[in-house]
Amino acid sequence: MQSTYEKSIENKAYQHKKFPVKKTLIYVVLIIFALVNAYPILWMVINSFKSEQEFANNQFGFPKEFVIENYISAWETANLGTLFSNSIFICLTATFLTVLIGAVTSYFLSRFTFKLNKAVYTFFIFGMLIPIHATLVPMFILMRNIGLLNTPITLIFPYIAFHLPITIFILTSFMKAFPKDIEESAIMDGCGIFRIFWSIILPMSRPALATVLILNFIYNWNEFSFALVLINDPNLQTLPLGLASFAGQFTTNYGAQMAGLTMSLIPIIAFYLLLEKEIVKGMTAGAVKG
Amino acid sequence: MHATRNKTIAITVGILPALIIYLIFAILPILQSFYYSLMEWDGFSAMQYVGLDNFKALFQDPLFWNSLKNNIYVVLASVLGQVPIALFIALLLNRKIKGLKLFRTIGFLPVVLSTVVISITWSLIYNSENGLINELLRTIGLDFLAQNWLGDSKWSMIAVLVTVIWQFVGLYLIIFLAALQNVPEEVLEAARIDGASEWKTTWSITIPMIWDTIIVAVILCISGSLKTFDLIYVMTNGGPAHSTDVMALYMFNETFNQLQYGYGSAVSVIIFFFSLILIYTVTKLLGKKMI
Amino acid sequence: MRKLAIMIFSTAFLLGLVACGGSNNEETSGSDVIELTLWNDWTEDRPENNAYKSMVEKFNEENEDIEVIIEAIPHDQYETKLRTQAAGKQLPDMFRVWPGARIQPLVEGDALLPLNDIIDNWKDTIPEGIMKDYAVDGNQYAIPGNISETSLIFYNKEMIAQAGFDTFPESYKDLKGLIQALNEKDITPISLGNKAIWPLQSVYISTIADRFTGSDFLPQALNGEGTFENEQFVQSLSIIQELTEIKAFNEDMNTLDEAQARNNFISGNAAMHFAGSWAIGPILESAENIENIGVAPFPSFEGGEGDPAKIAGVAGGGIALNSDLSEEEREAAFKFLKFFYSEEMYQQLLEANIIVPADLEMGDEIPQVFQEANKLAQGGLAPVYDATLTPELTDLINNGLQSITLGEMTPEELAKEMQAENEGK
Repeated sequence: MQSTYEKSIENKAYQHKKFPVKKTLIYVVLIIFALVNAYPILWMVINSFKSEQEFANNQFGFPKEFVIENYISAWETANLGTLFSNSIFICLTATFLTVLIGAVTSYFLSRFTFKLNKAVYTFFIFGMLIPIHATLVPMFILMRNIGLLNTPITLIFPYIAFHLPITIFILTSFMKAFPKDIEESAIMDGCGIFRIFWSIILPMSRPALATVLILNFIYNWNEFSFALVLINDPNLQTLPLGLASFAGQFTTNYGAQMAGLTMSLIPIIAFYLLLEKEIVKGMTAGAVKG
Repeated sequence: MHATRNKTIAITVGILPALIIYLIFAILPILQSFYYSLMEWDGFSAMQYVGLDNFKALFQDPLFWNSLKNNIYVVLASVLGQVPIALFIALLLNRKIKGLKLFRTIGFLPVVLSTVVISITWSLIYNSENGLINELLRTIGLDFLAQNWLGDSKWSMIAVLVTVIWQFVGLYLIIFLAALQNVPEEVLEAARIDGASEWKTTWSITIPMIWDTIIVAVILCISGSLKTFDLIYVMTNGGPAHSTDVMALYMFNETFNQLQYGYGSAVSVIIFFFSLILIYTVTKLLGKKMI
Repeated sequence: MRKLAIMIFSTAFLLGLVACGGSNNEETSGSDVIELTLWNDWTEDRPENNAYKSMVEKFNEENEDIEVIIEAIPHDQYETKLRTQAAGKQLPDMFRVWPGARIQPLVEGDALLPLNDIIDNWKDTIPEGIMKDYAVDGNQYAIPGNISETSLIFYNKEMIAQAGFDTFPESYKDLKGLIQALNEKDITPISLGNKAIWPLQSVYISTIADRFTGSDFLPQALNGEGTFENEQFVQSLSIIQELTEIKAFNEDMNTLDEAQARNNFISGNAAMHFAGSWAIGPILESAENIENIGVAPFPSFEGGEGDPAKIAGVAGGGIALNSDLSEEEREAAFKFLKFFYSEEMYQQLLEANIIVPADLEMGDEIPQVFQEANKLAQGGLAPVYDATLTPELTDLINNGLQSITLGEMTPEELAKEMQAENEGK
């Protein structure tokens, strides 16, 4: 909601005669962009209500009758209830741990000068270049050797390890941009190193923190390969595995699959909406200006 | 003296947790994989040391070069497609307009969407007989432009690239939006009062101020593109006739379908060092030392 | 946001500790029950999968001292998982395997337990010819649960009648006539979904090549007595080229998967669909008028050296045992296999429209389409290419056939490449 005050400022800012044309153009571009982006989701939701027979005959239009059973059968046959709670637990734990230890590390890498700084940073960046499928067999053997196969926390470790690099990369580049004098004044006030991190650097990094939280959540929520090879117990599996189970060797139950995918999208969109405002809210008043 | 020691302790304590987890669960497995690249191994029988034979075989395999070539296309399309489009949309969205939040959210949706849905819907759009694109072309009388987009090896890579670009624009969009919050409104306001057009303020103030973020995005793009797997795996699985094969897919098939663990690991070594060289070069070119 | 973060984080962490504690207790319980894990790909809610699962349930109910634990893995990811665990020497006690070339590496890696001691149990029910699909070097490694005929022609009776054919053509020459007549009527002749690249090989070439070369060709070519550059074999590859040239297939064949192509046939967008016996169930479930759908064998080819009564087919649904099983577990697993591969299960599969290796009475309620398909298997089975070729050769021919349809490769070139690959071994 915009206040009238804001609106008046806005009008002042764009007071030239080109204004309506330009604004229309912006809207046209944005609406095309939105349509192209929304189409697959709409298609998914619409088809999640179609019976198998109707899906076979009509993939474009609206269903003749809405089949709610897809949702029920998807939920039951794929054991989605259990998988949802497993996924939420693993996802949240891994995401918050990654961002927490990633943020601390980034803080030291970006705000301190020490001998191995560059080396450590570069070393972390290497992690962004590792193709995940190359590590499946070694990771399986490693987890077997340390007895971490098939436990509720198994997946948390590789998830943290594989997403720390991108987290540190984004956070470090963001934190580096802060002016040098912030800490100086804080140190004058007698703040400790970790205190500065917690009450100054972290709040200032909100947009970047929100970005990496969202990124981590998406990666972990959709992660398939590690979940496939490291977990056997059906009660410990995560959602992506359940969603793959609608496809057989020669047949696929598309209706149930689309219903499952639609349901699995809800938490991730909720998480995004929860954090998105942090990305665009801007910096806390007066913390950094110029 | 005392203060420096405290600082050292703090740094050590702060960095150690990340370093330990990263070392054990990311570096160790990939080193193991590098080690396999020197072996001949089918995953069942005993390993055999073969030195650099896997790499020699790799460099003589036209399918490997084909996947590398396609992968370079993915990198180019991502860097030259995703980044500018995302930046453009981010700039459009970084203002007070109605429906802003909705556009932003919709813009991000493809990133969270399952690759299965993306693959099915885009395949429907590209379908040669009743797909949206060909229907559109036929309606406006441009029948001769209608193609078998995914089914013809001349067009399949282009079709896949468009979808790849589309999929990740939203990711860079939020990264840019976050960065744009760092551009102080006063500076832009001042420029506007001085009579600078929006085009000019964008070029000479906004873009330079988020230049570092643009480099970050480019690096993410390169590293992500060289590992790209999921979408192409479900959409074409490298086909038709290897025309959309990329390195990670080639590695996966060699490892798990052809049971050549050593050979597959050799491909992953190449992916790793190729990304490293590419990122190093690009950051040099763009004027910032990230590595 | 910070408060929220702390809150979520700490609850998640506590939950983790609790969940951890919970799982540790589990392992100590149940010491006198023999637990056997069984890996399979029965994730989908389909009649045949339900038949398999109900057999396991029943076994568990009847045997208090043995517990078979089902772990289902989606089919497309099954091999990735199995191979990863095999590389880590952590194969489950029992797991579903595919026959021929696909169990070969497992056998070579000594991962499988031979079942020679118990095969006498099936000597009266399962013909030897089918049994041997799961044998390597004279050792039996699994019991067939079903037969996949890979080459059947499903056709729309109304549409071929429109093209002037009252019965389905028996020779390739007549089939070409039908294709031409259908094209003239603007009907797509054959619905093909070759995105996953195996159909042209498994469904088409397995039987077409057999018609040309005879069934001895494939083993001989593989062991070096014959060659893939065999003229008859090259001719069978040219059939694919010719079918593409006379526009027998839908234009988007390389972008559709098998199931989509089948759906197009079911919904009346094409006159024919070439597929294996796996398609019978789905076609019967979704077709609006079953009476309108017929099944035919592949046509005969002039000059072919093979037996035109044969159809490519291979055993399926086998379960292999881990070679590391203890004496006790081994006996329990044997007991399970004997219970599982019984007439009761074959009967259930029959009702789910699955062709089974055992010869059973069929009631009248069995649909006509299924009965006809079942009859075709009596003419003898020809080897299925991807169940016989090495993974490298399979990959080569799969991609090669696709290249042929795209005009990027000639049949001769493909044959030459296959021979080179085979000699390189």
